[in-house]
Amino acid sequence: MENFQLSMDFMIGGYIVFAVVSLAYVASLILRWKNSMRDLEMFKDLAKKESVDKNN
Amino acid sequence: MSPQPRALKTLNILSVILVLGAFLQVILFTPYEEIMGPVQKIFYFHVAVAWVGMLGFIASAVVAVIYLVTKDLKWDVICLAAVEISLVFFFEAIVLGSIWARRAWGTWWTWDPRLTTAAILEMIYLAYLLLRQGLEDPERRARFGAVYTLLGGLSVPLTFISIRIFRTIHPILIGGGGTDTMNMSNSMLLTMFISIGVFTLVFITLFWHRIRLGFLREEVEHTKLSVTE
Repeated sequence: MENFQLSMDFMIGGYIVFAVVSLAYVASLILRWKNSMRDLEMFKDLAKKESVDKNN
Repeated sequence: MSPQPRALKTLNILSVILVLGAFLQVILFTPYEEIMGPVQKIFYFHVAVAWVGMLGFIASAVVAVIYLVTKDLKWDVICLAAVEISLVFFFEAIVLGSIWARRAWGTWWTWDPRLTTAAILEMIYLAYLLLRQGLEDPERRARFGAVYTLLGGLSVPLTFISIRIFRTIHPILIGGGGTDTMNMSNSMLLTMFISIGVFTLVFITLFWHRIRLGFLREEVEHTKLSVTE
């Protein structure tokens, strides 16, 4: 019985580790996407301002 | 950057549902292995993520060949995406295997041929990510990446067949024939193949997302250069 419980604990531990690593990777993809979109918007704004300045 | 295509959105939902389904299949509908008990259930996801990890490394080698032939930088973005996702999956396979080994073998880690070749494989591709950072010129970086992943790809079959050509304590799943072969019931085999199928789909979904992220970052770099010039 004790052995069974220990084996169960290892199984639960394994799946928790698996879930944490997977979610961390998905979160990193989302964060990098958001940061890249923000950077893209910023550089596009800068490019626009630059072209307006040049025209003036 | 264009919004997510409908097919990708569908894949997102399908992936989440199927991973939860596979997990329930493992926990509720697959019998316990007689000797090891519940910890053996780690094995289904362990095999599945190891499979997709290797699949991704092989895919990166194929993409590397395409880059070397076409010299189109988009293939470098795709190659990097395949390697990054495979690294995550293969890391999970090693960790899950280690947790299983603690109960089965009484140790978290041993320098068994399969474990050693798997650790080397992971480190080869980790080094790929680190070494890429040191190269500024995109074409040089892509050329280096392609040659590196092509050579690194050789370690994938070596890791796969290591349990067949060396003396090892790692169980042989398919085609072993000897005493090391795992005896699995039909429902266990079914669960294993379901998990492999599900994680192949998850790999495709994440791969697509990572490729989109790669192209977005390329766009950011080009816009940045146009501003600073």
